[in-house]
Amino acid sequence: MRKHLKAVLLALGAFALSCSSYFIAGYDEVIDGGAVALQQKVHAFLIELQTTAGTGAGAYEQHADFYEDVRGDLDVLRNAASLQRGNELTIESLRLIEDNVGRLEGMHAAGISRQEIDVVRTLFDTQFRMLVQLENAKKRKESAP
Amino acid sequence: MNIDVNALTTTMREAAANAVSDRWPAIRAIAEAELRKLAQTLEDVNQLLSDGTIDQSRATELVRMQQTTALTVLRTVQGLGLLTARQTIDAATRAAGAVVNRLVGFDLI
Repeated sequence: MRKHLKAVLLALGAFALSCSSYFIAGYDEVIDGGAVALQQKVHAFLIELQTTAGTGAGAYEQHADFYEDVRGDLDVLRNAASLQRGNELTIESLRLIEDNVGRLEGMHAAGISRQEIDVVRTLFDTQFRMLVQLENAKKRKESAP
Repeated sequence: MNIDVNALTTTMREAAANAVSDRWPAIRAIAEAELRKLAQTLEDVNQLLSDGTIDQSRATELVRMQQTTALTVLRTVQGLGLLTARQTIDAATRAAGAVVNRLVGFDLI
């Protein structure tokens, strides 16, 4: 009987240890709200750029600040995410968004067409939607019984 | 005090199965829908290249953006999978706890 109990306790201990690799950070409303706000900001910028592309008003020089602003917002979100253990996937997603912001900036500086902005908008919408979806899934998990 | 290891295993397995239920198919559906949308953007880039709106270098850049976006989708799918795995583990642990704690007479789990 004692042997049985020992075996069960050892199995449960090993089970608990194996669980640590499945750890994922909890829901963070700063990340959720910040990601939604940034998604709206980028979306509105791309809609505006679509109407002004090819004109002086759409030139990169008129919008260089936007890119710095977005990088600053991404930094804030990354810092918030790094405060919690188990947020590597969110931090990685923010880095991937920043990569695409850099590519958009390069294309914008070289000249970008309305049709290209259509493609770019779909890509950013997907990235932000994915970021928010993960955060919302964490929220659902926390409210589950 | 006797621990029925088989019964405990069954309890944990059933609790884990209930926790997962239809979540894996839902995660797969999200991945498929998002990756299908991204595949369409590849077709859009191909179209822009074919009709001369963009050159090869710009097409390459847009495809890189598409690949980066696909990675973001995969990271989220990975996270949803982890959350589901976590819920499965929690459910199995709770089920085991109910049995083992009663047998040992204190809150061991």
